[in-house]
Order: sequence, then structure tokens, then C-alpha cells
Amino acid sequence: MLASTAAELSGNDWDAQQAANHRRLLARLPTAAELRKFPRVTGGRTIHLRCDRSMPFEFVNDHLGAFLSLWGARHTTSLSDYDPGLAQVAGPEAEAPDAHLLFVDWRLYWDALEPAAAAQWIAERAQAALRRSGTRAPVVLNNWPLLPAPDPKAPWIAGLNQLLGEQPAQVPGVYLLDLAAQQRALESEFFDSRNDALTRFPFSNKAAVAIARHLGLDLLPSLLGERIKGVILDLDDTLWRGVLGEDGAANLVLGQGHLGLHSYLRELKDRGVMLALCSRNERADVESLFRERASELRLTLDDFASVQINWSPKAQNIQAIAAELNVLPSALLFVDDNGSELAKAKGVLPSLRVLLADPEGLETEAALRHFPGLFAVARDESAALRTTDVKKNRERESLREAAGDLTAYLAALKMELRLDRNRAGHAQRLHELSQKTNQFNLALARLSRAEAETAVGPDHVTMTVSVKDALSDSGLVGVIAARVEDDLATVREVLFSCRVLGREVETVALGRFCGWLRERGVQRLSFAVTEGPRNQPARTWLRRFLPEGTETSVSDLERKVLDASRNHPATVIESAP
Amino acid sequence: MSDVDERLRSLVAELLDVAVEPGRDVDRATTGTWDSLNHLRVVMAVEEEFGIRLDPDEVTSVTSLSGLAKLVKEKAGPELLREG
Repeated sequence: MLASTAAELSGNDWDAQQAANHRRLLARLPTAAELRKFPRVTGGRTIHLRCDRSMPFEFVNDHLGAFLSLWGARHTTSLSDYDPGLAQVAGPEAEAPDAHLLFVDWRLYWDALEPAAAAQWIAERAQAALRRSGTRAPVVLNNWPLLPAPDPKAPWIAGLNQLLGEQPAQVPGVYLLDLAAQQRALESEFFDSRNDALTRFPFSNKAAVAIARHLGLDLLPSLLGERIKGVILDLDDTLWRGVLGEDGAANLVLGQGHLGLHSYLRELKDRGVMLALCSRNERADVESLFRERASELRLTLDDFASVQINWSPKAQNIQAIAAELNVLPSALLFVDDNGSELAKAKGVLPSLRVLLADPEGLETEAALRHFPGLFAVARDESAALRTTDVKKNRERESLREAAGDLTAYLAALKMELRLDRNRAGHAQRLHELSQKTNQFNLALARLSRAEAETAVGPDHVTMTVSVKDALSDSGLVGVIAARVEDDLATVREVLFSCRVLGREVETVALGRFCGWLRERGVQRLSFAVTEGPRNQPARTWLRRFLPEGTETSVSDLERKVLDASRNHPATVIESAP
Repeated sequence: MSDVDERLRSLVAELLDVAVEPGRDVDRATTGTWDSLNHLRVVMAVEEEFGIRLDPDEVTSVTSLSGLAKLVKEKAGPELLREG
């Protein structure tokens, strides 16, 4: 039944007939037998996972490959010995994992340590794991499920879980394997005393599958793969049951499944995932439906950053949405109840991710909750600004057309650039931008949270650029980060969100950045440049000022850049640390 | 050979990564891959496959494929046996 779903998701020989099976596999917890039969991808990315543990990880690891196959990845796992002290975390540097898991049986510690001491100890172990990978590999550590009541250890577990829940924000590069949340979602027993007595694995078979799913579909794709930036939705038999053009607005069915889906889409939007509509309908009909049934619908047309409602081919509309959102098709998920529409769109845009909608809504929501690349591993600092900012880009386009030339357009925008130097509070956003940006990033450095923290430290000069204009506040959208040694600066990354490209913000910023380096006594600078499949815009921009090579004198570069941005009308506000 | 025997043979062969000829027994003591972790893997797979639950004593009493088959047939009841 599931024979071709791995190939389907990895983009090879996509078959619409398998789309419903794919959705079901995401929407409900599969059995261990289904996972054993699930075909593994043969190509694709191999993830090297290191697990330091004080309980067996093997029963979870057994199921991980099937879940990774769903997004075209496979894995190898290196296991430590069982060691309550997790001493092997700081082992040989030679092994370079892509992700490091600390799989801890917290029952071993609750008689000896208070929750605060236990949390502090694991934070130290996590930092040792980060050092082992040179801070590149994210560290994932588990909390603990609640034992069946009455449980005298419940306050200890609750205290520990609260502290571990705060750690991702406190220890850069650390993420939570949330066993307590998996327990809440599982409809059967999470613990299994028999398994515990036999092997010291305290969880049930179903719990092992749930933990593997959390790791393989939620955490690892978001930490190591390309995140989904936008979800494109069909309307009829997707957001409601029925066909607007045939049944009329009053007769469309809005069941509990649809309302749950709407609420979850709102949640995604609030987390910073942009929503878009792509539907064959009359736009006026859709607008009146959203008005007439506003009290029932849990979404409004304003929630969608891009709306393509017309009779054009959907692939063409999806391309228009990608252009409007300024993201690549590979960062978009298209949800439609018609398998042939999904197949046609994927035929034109092979990297597009797709999900067959359940006309009742219920399975669509459940599948979205575990769709690879949608899970939020950390709070998105600019989530609230994104949809509004993208919608304002349409007004910027109108302004640009009306203004005639670039300078007049930039003046009409009344831009204000805020340039912050080594601002510690910007490390999280720096990390996020580094992970998400694909078109204007010169070095493709993909800075980990810990590396971002280092980049705002004393041996770096790092500029973070926030942009606001007459139409909207785009927030922190650009970074130039350089490590400084004596009179040489090495620019580790230049990256700008696609939301502000075309306004020469990056050029104005580089001019001031050169000034900062000069003031610090730096005379030469070199740029780390990596040629990627999509970062041509950044490389082309650098070549305007540095036609050959990657190293230059600061003063020469500053002169060229200031010449290029001399008439830029933006107001620039600089802030020292 | 009943359907139950065949399903168990297939599961044990897959999970222990051993070749099991139809009708031949597999002994835990002489099968290198049948360690305690794989023993629990086999038990959990069998429970899922046949919709049964083995208690700790039953799990530790299993020392061969034939012993496992006997236990499964006792636990699963006549409906399952008729399927074979």
C-alpha cells in the first residue's frame, strides 16, 4: 500500500494515486509493522546521528529510517555505551555528527538531584556535545513523561520539564525532544513496565513509534532540512466541503474538521508561515463567501499573504505566489483535494511539496501537524511582521511603477535603516535568517544558534540590519558578520531577506560596515563566498564592488560602495553595543 | 504449517536477520542475534501482529520459535487459529 510514497515525497516518479496513503501516514501514528515495510530512500541526504544515552535508544532508532524517508533522507546512528554520567559526550573530535541526541532516563537522577541541578547538569553535557561538533550540530535532549497518578515524583518531573523547556532559549543550539508532549498526544499507554523490566526501555511500542516520529518528522527536518515558508491552499473540498461555484456559499459544509484546520492554519500564520490561496473560482464569489460566513470561518482573506483565484493553470498561479512571497517553490507546500492538480503542479515545479487534502479537513490538519519542515523548533522573532510585510510589497511595486526611477521610488518609501553592532539579543534572529535565506547569502554559512552567539562576540564585527518604511516594519532582515584578527577581517556571511531586496539596503549597509572596520583599525577584508544553486544574487552583488578575487583593502571597498550608494535616500540610524 | 507459524517464521527471520526454512525451529540459545534487545523486538512485533499481550513471565519463558508459536496460539484464541 505504501510502496511508492518515499519516492513520491523525494520528488522522483511522483504518483498522485499514492497521495492519499502519504497523507494517512502523516495523519495518524503508523504501526511498527507498517514502518518496517516502508521502503527506504536509496539516494538523498544521509544524516549522521550521535546518541549519548542512559537508556536504550534502539527501539526508537528502529523506526527512524521510515520517517526520514518521508522527506528523502536516511541516517546512520552512533550509540554511546549506557552511561548515566554521559561522559562519552566529550569524546573524540573525529566523529562529526549532523545532530547529537542526549537520550536520558531521568529516573536515574531524581533521588540524587533536585530538578534545577539536573537541568544544569544536562545543560553542561549539551554544551560539551556542542563543543564536540564545533557547535555546528544541534543538540536534542529529552524531557520526561508523567508517570501514572498518583505519582510522588510528579512535582520533580514537572519542575524538570519546565526547566528543560526553557533551555532551548537559554543554551544556543539546544532543542527539546518533548516526550511529555508525545505522551499527551498518544491515546494509549506511554510507559511499559514489562519492557522496562526486560531491557530498561521504559516505554511502550507505540511510544517508541511516537518518539521516532517526533524526531524524524518534526525535529530533524526543521533542524537539518529546508523549512517550509508558505502553505498554499485550494478552497473547494479543502477549506470546506462542497464547490462554491455550484453549491453556493450558503450550502458549503463547514464541519469540525474544517474549523480545526482553519485554526491550525491560523496558528501556522502566527508562527510566521505564510498562507496563500490558489483556487479555480470567481474572486468576487470567494470574497462574498468570506463576508457572508465570516462568523463561522476561522480564517479571513486578510490571513493570506497571496491570493490567486482565477482560471489559470495552478502551476502558473503557484509560480506567481512564489514570486509574490519571494520564496523558492521548494519552500512551499501545496494542499489540494485533487491529486491530478498536485501531480501537474509537481510536473512543472518538481521541488514543490504537496499534500492531498482531506475533503473533511480532519486528516489535512493532522498531516500538517507532522509535515516535514513545518515544525517550529524555536520562536520566530519576526513571525508577526511577515504576512503584512509581504502584502505591502504589492504596494511597493505600485509605488515603483509610479515613481519611474529607482531613486524616486526609494525616496517615496521613506526608508529607515537601523544598523546594530554586535547586539547579543539579535543572535537568535541571526541564526534564523542564516537558516532560512537562500538567495542573498554569500557564504551559505548556515550558522548554528551557537555560532550566531559567537558572531556577536568580541572577536567579531557583526552588523544586524532592521528596515522600516512608510508601508511596513520589516524587522531585522540583514546581517554582515566578520571575524577580526589584527588588521584583517574575514566576512563569514552577508545575508539579506528576500523581502528587502531591490532597495539597495545591502549596499548602504556594506558602506557603513566598512566604516566600522576602518574605525577598529582593520585594513584588509576577505569575503567567504560559496557558490550555491540559488545564491547568484548575492555573488553578483559582490562582483559589482570586487570584480575579481575575494580579498580587498577596506578603504578601496568603502570608496566604491559609498560611490554606489551616495544618493540613497534612506535614513540610517546606527547603534553601538 | 499454519498461517500463524508462517507469520511468526517471517517475523523472526526479519527481526533476527537469520534464514529460517519453513518447518525448522530456531533456538534462542544458539542464535547469536537473539539477544535481549532483539528478544523484546520480536515480542513487540508479535504482539502487534496478533493483537495480544505477553506478560513478563511469558516473555522470559520463550526460548525458541516453536515455543513462541505455542504461546501465541494459546493467547490468540480459536478465531486466530481458524484463520490458519
